[in-house]
Amino acid sequence: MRFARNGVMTAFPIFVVRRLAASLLVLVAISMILMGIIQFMPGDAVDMLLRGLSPDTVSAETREALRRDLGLDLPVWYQYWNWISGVVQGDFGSSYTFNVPVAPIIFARLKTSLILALPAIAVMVTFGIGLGVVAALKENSPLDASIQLMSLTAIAMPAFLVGSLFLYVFAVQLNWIPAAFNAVDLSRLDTLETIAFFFTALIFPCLTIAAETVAHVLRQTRASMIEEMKSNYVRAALLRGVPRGQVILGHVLRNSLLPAITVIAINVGYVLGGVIVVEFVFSYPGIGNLMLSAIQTRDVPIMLGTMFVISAGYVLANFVADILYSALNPRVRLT
Amino acid sequence: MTRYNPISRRRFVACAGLALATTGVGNLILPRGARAQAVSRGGTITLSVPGPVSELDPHKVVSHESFPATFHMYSALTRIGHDFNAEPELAESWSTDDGGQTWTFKLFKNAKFHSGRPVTAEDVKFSLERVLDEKTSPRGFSAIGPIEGVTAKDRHTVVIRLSTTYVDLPIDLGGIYPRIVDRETIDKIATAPNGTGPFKLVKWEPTGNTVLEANKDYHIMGEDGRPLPYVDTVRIVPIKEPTSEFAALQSGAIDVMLQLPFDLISTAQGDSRLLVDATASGYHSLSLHQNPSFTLPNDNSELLKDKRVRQALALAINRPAILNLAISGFGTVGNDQPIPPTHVYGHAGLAPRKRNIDKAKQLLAEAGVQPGTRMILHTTTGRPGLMEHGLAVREMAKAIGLDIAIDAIDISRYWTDIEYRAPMYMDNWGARQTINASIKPFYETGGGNNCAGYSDPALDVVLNRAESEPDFKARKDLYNVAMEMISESAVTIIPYFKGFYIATNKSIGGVSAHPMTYMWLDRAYRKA
Amino acid sequence: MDRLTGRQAFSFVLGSVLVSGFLLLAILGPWLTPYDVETMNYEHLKELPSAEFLLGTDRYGRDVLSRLILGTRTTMLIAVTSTALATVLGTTLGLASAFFGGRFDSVSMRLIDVLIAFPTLVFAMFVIGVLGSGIVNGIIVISLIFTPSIARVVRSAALGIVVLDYVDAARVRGERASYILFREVMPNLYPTVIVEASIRFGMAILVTSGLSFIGLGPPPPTPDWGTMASEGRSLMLSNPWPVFAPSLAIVLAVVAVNLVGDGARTLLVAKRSRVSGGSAG
Repeated sequence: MRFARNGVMTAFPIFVVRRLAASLLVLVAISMILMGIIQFMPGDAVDMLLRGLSPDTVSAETREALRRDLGLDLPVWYQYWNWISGVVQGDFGSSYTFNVPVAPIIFARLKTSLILALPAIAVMVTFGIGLGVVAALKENSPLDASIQLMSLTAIAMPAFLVGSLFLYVFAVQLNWIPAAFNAVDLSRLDTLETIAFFFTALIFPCLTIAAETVAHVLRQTRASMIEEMKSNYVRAALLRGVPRGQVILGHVLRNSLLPAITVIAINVGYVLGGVIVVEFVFSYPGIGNLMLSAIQTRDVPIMLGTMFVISAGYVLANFVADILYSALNPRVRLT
Repeated sequence: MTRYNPISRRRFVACAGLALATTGVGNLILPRGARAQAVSRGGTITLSVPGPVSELDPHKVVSHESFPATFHMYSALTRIGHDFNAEPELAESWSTDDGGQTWTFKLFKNAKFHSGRPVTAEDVKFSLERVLDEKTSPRGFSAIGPIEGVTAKDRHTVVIRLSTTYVDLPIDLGGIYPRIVDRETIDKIATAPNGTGPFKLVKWEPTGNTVLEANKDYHIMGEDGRPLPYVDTVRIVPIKEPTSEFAALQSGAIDVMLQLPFDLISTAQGDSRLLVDATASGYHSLSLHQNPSFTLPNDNSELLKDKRVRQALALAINRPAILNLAISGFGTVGNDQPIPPTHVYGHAGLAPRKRNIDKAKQLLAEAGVQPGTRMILHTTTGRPGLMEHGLAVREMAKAIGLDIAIDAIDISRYWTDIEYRAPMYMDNWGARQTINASIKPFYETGGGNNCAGYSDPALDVVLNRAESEPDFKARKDLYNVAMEMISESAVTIIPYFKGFYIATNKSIGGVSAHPMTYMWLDRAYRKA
Repeated sequence: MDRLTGRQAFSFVLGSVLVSGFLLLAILGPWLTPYDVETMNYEHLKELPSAEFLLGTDRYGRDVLSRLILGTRTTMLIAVTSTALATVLGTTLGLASAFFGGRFDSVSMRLIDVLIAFPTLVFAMFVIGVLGSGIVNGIIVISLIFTPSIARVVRSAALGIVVLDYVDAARVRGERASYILFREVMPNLYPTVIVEASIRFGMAILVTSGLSFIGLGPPPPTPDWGTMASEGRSLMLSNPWPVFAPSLAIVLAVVAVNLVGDGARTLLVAKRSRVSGGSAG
């Protein structure tokens, strides 16, 4: 397949490579921006370490020594270089609060978030596209109206309300789901019990995330399908006598999916972001909660690391979406 | 030779005062020192803490979520009991020949490190010196008493020389920092800790759970003649959300909840699956700084240097109402100084100021303060009660014509930017283990915890004398005088003493609330 | 312009009425509150709704209804200001990019690509976590986050217009760039801009409530919907109103804004619904 670029066709593999390079550049830019933002933070890690003590208790030399140990006295660009060269090798530095390497912590939490995110993405894609198609096919019917209403409500309902409601009813009142993920000793459970535990622990956080994202995908899918159905070539095909089902499956669906892919990519980023609020409400030990704690303790390596990883996930999702999009529609222009 | 027998100097800390102030009958208050009917061994106890265990080196701990790990892994020479007495932990006994300037500690001969190596006086010397070094223990070096030198007299005897007489040394040596570590494996302390405590480390996930298992060779025996602890495993689980933490407790997923938020106490008391225990611990103070590091435009903070203004504020507040608002009534009314009346050194004769708007207005008028004068109070939502407290003060000050604006600061900046520095701010203090530590660093000129920047040479004299006074009655009188002076100056307005509550599953025994908010589980057991 | 069906018209009108209602509340708030928002009624802590306190009281004994009304002002202030700011900045940037093209366009688009690469809420939390919470910081952060996407959309739409003949004609006539942009190009873009702005407005409400909920919002005692919901959580077991009331307000506000946005889109936007924008190939 070839792609048009200002009139010049590009081969697919080269397109992929170009996009990859662009994504990497974006990641580098992101890391610089993040490092830059951190510089605006009032106070530093040594102040955190010595909190609660009167300013005169610890001598200035000791403070400086502690600062030097943490590398806080070095110029920004040097700290940045240290950090980014470490990241490339998989070393995200050492946490200020825990004094252990940050990378294993972040990736362990990322894994936990993915256990929550992947099912949520699956639900989002299936129900989002599925319901969107149904609503479009039955445009303006009562079914369509109710689906639309539900999606409007889902978008408007803040995740924290939905999540808190679920938590309050199912964990606190009814005790059907665990109130805190860490509390259970997983080593004491057999396989069946472990599966049951994960199911109960994940179902409501998943639903909370899914509610909002399904609605977005649904709206986009429905809108583009309706638009497609109105287009000339569809009308022409129908007039020519091509069966409706074939028209839909053959052309409409494929063309409608393109914008849907973009929306899905955006929402995947949202999901991957740990859905901080959902993790917060459910005390789910994912990467989102990790970032939140790091913000509260001003643990800069963890803050930087989590933010970077989350952004990288989002960039990755967009990259995949771009590739998919152009694979499905060879006529796309590169802008 | 004066021998300090830990039992003969009983100190009694509030539960009576607290019981009067708390609402509701609720569930059983676990009697202090309750003897077990039948202690059954084995099992796991799961303890929840509000944040993850961040530090395993006891000399470097910063936040109290790490204490359950470091206290259980590393023993100290003594343990601070519920009545603030020093009890034996690694030291079997101790004595002083010269009224408290030189102390001799005799170690248990059969105390061992987890690796099997016996604990010697050299290890104690090494550990204490490490704590006394500002660089290795920036938070601990000033917290263990006026130590000048530590010598290992023989394998099991340690001699500690102080720069002045100080009768509370044994208590200070049971605190957070002076825990005994292994000098031979000190470089591996962060990764492969070798401790002396009733539990050893099995697994530590930073940001996650910490698992400890029983030290089978612990030197202190339980009631059945076998070594403590009774349980096999302790799991320390961080849960940030109090409602979730509480739900986990109710469902049995966790057994012990370390700090019960005030909002949940009555629910816990009404839940038949749980037991609630309480004690008094700490206070909130409105610090009126005499020498702040910064002032804001129009905060009129120089007015705070006038005692009449401070006393007016102290008279304007409605103490029982603030107690209700800030911590739902779970505490006792306070009198602007840090020692609760039920403390063994407490001053029963110093009654809390009663609200008196007229007198307050009169004082303000004398000080030349116009109605509508603006002030700024700094507080935070990061600790329960502080924001509510600040808001209440603001409300109550309106009655005397002061317009106090609230400046809410995020907790992550609060201790570094506001505490000790702002002109008028809320502060949160826990209990201190010794009477001296509870007062002197807070009010002496240049003291390490002098949150109001207070300086009164007359008070300094009293505090210095009291610190090294060996006779109990004389000491108590001196401290009472100090308390009167502090209350009169109103540099720290302390309307109440906080209650400290814990909740446990009713199947757990041997766990009780400690006035220092510490939690030891070596005597805990699962009921048969 | 397309016509609205009966149902769509109803939704649009309903949405507009609600949004106007909220804006009115935001403006007239202080005169409408039955009680002072900061007064703590010590004898009425955490009460359920009654004749005296229509939505009950919170943990400090403050009237929930009054705080809800004034909370409208805080939320609307942040949402409206940040959306307006982002719209102005984004539109200007997008127009300039489309019109001037060349280096300026490449550079700004690259920058925008990077900024869009940050997941919204997470980035907002990160920046607020660094800078500190507050109304001004909230406005700054949210405008920062929305400007790039608005710029992108405006640029796409403008690209289709700046190449049109009459624009060229204006250029040839020697008209100043600002004249061309605002008199010739902009009028065609109003529909796009309005629709985009309404989408962002709804999101701004959600983002600011989300931030407040996790503690990164305007500091107490400022009444704010997200903060109210968060503060009331620990009493949810005994009195859910301090949580439900602000949450319902948020839901209503966002639904209303979306209804208006949907209607606006149908009314104003001709023949384009592809997210990627640009003219059909």
